[in-house]
Amino acid sequence: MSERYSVLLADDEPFYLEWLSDYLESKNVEVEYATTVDDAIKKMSETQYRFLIVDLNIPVISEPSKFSKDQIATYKSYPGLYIANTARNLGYRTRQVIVYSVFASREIEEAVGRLYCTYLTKGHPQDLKREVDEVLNYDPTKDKP
Amino acid sequence: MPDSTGNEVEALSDSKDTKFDFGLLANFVHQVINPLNGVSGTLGNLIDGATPPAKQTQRLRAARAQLEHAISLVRNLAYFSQISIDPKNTNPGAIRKTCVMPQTIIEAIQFFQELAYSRNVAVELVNRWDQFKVEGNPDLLRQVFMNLVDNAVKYSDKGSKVEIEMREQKKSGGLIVAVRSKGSHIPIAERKRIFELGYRGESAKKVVASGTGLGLHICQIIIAGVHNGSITVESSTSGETEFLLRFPEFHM
Repeated sequence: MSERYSVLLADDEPFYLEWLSDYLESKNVEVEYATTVDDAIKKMSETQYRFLIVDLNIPVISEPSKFSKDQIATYKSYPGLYIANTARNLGYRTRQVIVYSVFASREIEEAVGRLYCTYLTKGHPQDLKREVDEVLNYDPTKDKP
Repeated sequence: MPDSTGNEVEALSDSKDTKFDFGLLANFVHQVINPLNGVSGTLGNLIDGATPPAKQTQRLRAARAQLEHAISLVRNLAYFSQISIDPKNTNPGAIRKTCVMPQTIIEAIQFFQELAYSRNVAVELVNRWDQFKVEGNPDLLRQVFMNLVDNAVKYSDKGSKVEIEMREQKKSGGLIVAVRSKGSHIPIAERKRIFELGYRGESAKKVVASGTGLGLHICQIIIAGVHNGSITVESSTSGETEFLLRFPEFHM
């Protein structure tokens, strides 16, 4: 039997993501939800996930510290970036952090690009499923350093 | 501009509210894509066989609820455009029917059963057998209750109860409908602006990051402009929030 992984879905409206839970569970992946930035950062400090899927529009209860003024200016508009940034600092590799949003803009692409994460626009579930498949099939131990 | 009942109806097309607002449109798009994305994902899973058979019926129900939610959001925009462009066509003089309040409210509640179930929130019309009736526009009133129930379910605490109650206001002889929920406290500064077009309070943003800022504005237009009533909100520091709708006249 294949190894069971866990994934963190950071999204404030899980009701709309039951399909993604079903899809991940069909791949033997356990799903955990975080509905705020604070919740996601706390969960990341407690659990090492196989990968993360992060909505850029997610509530922040208390502004996380340790971010530059420039970062905060952008991250206030797209709070999911706090999660992506924290994840990268915790050692999650580039493709282990998938961020998505309804909107595509240069500002978002640049901010996500600086974190070297995967960025997808909402509204195309097949794209997200494809990315999930590729991340699950990717074996970092076979990667060249 | 006086309408057929002699009331002043402001043409919103003359007011600053109808200046094309791209921010509002962006929020609207964001809100409507979420449920549609859910429907698309659910159907994809059913086609691909990724949904376990035991969950298929529930997932289809959820997809239907998501689609209805998307339609409800589009309806808000449609009503807003309609009222903005031609307020006379939506006032009670133009479309005047008897609205059976419990029926209208129950129809609105039914749209949010799946969302309420997913959040473990119970929605109850307390005195459903009292046949309060008002003269007005049933479709618009249902939209008002859909917006209020949607918000109540979305922003209330998990495991809590949303209660809707109708009662006669002895002093004025009018009808009051109260929508009560338990969640985050809405500070007075936010309550003052809560019915403004495009406004979303910080307390709401801490629960759900994005919203149209259109729903409550539509409620106010429909209640005040179309039914000659009023809508207000109260919120205690313990997080009990009550929207009160007042109708000047009713019959049984």
